Amino acid sequence: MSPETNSAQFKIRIIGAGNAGAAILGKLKNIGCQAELAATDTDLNALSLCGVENIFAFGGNLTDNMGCGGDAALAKEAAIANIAGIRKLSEGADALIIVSGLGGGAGSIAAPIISKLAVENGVKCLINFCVMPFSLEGKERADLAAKAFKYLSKHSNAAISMPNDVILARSKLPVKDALNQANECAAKAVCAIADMMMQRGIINLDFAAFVKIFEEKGRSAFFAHSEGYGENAVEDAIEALRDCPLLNGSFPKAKNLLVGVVCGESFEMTKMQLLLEMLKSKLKPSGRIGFSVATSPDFDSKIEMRAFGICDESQTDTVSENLEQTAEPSARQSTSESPHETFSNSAREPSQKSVPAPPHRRPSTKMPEEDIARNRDVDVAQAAPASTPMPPPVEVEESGQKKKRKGIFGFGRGKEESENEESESVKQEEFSFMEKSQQRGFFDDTPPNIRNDEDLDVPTFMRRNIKINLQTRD
Amino acid sequence: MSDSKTIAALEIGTGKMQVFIGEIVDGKNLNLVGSGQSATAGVKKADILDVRKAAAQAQAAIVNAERTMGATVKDVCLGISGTHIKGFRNIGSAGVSGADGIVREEDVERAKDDARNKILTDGKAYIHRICCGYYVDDNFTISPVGKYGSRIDAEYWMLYGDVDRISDAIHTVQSFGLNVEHLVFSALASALVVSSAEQKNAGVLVVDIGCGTSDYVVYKYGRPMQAGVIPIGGDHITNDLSFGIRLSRANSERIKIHCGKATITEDERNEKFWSFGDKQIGDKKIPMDAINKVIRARLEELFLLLRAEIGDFMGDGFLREAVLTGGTSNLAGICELASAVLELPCAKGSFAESVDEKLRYQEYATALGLLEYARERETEKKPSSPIKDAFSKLFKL
Repeated sequence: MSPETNSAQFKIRIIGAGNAGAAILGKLKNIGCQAELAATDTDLNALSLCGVENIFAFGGNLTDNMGCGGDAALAKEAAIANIAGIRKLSEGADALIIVSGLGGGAGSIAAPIISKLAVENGVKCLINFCVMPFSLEGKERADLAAKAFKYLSKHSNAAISMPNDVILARSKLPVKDALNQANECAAKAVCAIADMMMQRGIINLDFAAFVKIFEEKGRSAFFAHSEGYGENAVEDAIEALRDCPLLNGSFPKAKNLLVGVVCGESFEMTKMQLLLEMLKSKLKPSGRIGFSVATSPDFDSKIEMRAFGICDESQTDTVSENLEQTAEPSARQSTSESPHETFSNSAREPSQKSVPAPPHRRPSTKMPEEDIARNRDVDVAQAAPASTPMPPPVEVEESGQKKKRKGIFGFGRGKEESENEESESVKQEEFSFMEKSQQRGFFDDTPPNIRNDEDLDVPTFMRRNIKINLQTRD
Repeated sequence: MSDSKTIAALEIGTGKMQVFIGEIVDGKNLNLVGSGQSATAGVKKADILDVRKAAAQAQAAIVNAERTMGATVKDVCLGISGTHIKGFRNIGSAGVSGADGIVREEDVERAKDDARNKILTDGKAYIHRICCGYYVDDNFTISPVGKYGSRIDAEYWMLYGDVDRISDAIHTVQSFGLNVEHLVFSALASALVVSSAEQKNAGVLVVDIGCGTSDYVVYKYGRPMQAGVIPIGGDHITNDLSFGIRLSRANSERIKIHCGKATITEDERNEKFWSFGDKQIGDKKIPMDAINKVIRARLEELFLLLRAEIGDFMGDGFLREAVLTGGTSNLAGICELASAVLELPCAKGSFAESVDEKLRYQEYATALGLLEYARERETEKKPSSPIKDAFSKLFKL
């Protein structure tokens, strides 16, 4: 391997373009990202606030370094006037990650220009990470963002879009915190991408392999990262991966796939195998697969997982999907939050699993066995005089809803679906258990104890595929 | 002349049959006059599978208790649990009838009737219909009478079970000529002795982790808000262990009791135990890590199911703490695990001063609670005494 392709020596630079890009870079700095950071915008003020040392304001005289006010034409003029400075941003870097908030002036213009110049400068791997505008910001911005993104995905090895809507629609936080959270989410993702390139671990992915996976330009890419804790870290992480805001709650069909895992030092190989099998069965990569593992002494039972890849051509374009979906979740969210429609939780998106604050009033719940619809919807706030008949009964559907948690020790999840999908994966000899239904032992003569489609009489560790090691070393 | 009544509290448990006989004097003082225990038979997961065997064992326990007391009992306060027990929330409403808009006793009664009279499907019967509180025009209150509003709702937690199973339990007692005076869900009984009035007021979750099932009850504002059964108990841990460390059931049980830990430290992880301890052929060392993994997986599942079930009450500081009781709560490290999963401070049940020290075992919580329940019902019958006797609860063996 030639020295310049060794990831220990090559340079990764992350450039934040536009106001949003600079803000995310500020977060990145706080997280402690190892890569070189550089921010650029037309607004010098915003740049100096983001806390990144290496900044370049390309507004110049045209905007008096005060931002372009979302005017793309103005930003373009300014960028062309200062093209030499922008070119410098990507000089000397082997890999470049451009973080931008599309839809505004500076971001939508600067990101494509930097991308183009970076390719000219000989950057070997170019990744674009774009935050898409809110749907409520208007069609104009959405169109501009879509246009910019299309350009970026054509010219970079991988372009990832993060729809702002999806992240914020779930959030009941105050505006500032919500935006902060969105930025943090983006920063974490970007940092994870950079880590994947840089990390030295047990199994390494060299930079050449990384580039190989993203060799073809113009393909839609996806990226997701997640964490898992405790005994079921693997299952948790896979589940959380799907819920990653960057994936919109469903696994894309991958062509080339890159998997990065960071785990504790005691993480077992069987679990690693399980993880890879599960991930493969979910993402169904049809081409190259790259894989890296690093251990961290701080991790203990925690694992961190990243999946980065390009989508299978035969599949629908996730990018356009993303763009279309930006409008949907928020619309759904707003209807489900209106006071007249609180009874149907099951209509919610599976991705919107944020645990709601306990309601002021607890609704009646159905008897699990029967459907007598005498329960009233609790939020029908009409005072009913005793003589008038009750309003028509509305069923409160709660029992049917599967509660899923992302946090520590996630149980009760759709085990079956993963099993079905795993059918094609390689059989693991370590888990040579008998049929699950036969493993009831003491409870053989009792009726099954079914909760959430699982027989609770079957040992938990078997249902969770927890490996029990009885070997003693002495 | 004092008026006394003798009542036996019988818990038909999966692990044991426990009987306490109490003497309720003047409807307020309670003296424990007898106790008996016997092994259990025909009961699994707190469900009576074989009425005849269970009845024989229950009778043996009662006879034992009667012997210690030297007299016989007629009435039994019976604890019930089992996987068939379920609950749901029901809200009944009534309009405020008075022209002045002040809620009156009659309005409350109508709302309560509306909530209570929900018809169950065939083959089901109510065990408890617990009034959790009221809403006057959507504002929660404990005492609605006198409040101003246009509508009153009564919130009920309806606990019900299979008619067949409930009658099995009652038949078990009736088969040897005793009368079931009260039928009480076991967690409600346990909560009476292991949590204080202050705890119940501030919000407490009491979990009775027995051999067959884990029964829970949520208290807030001094009232039970929700109760139910998670069909996992100590037997499940033993069964899991027998699969996980490949030992007989008896040995697994022994390992569970002596070496079982729900949470372990890094140092303990490398400890090992001899499976039989006699160092004969077949004896092998079992790593603590393996034992812990099996137990932890099971208990984590239990607490997660519990957490999902009481989801309405999680967060917002609605619950202040969790109290674990029942035989399985003696497992080392279980409180730490419970508080990690439930995100609540967690402790084992503590008994009131009045309970004799010899009786302060988590296994006895249900049976003691049953006696306390009987006493409370007796007190309700005789509301004559204006001053509540502070020393009313006097357990003496």
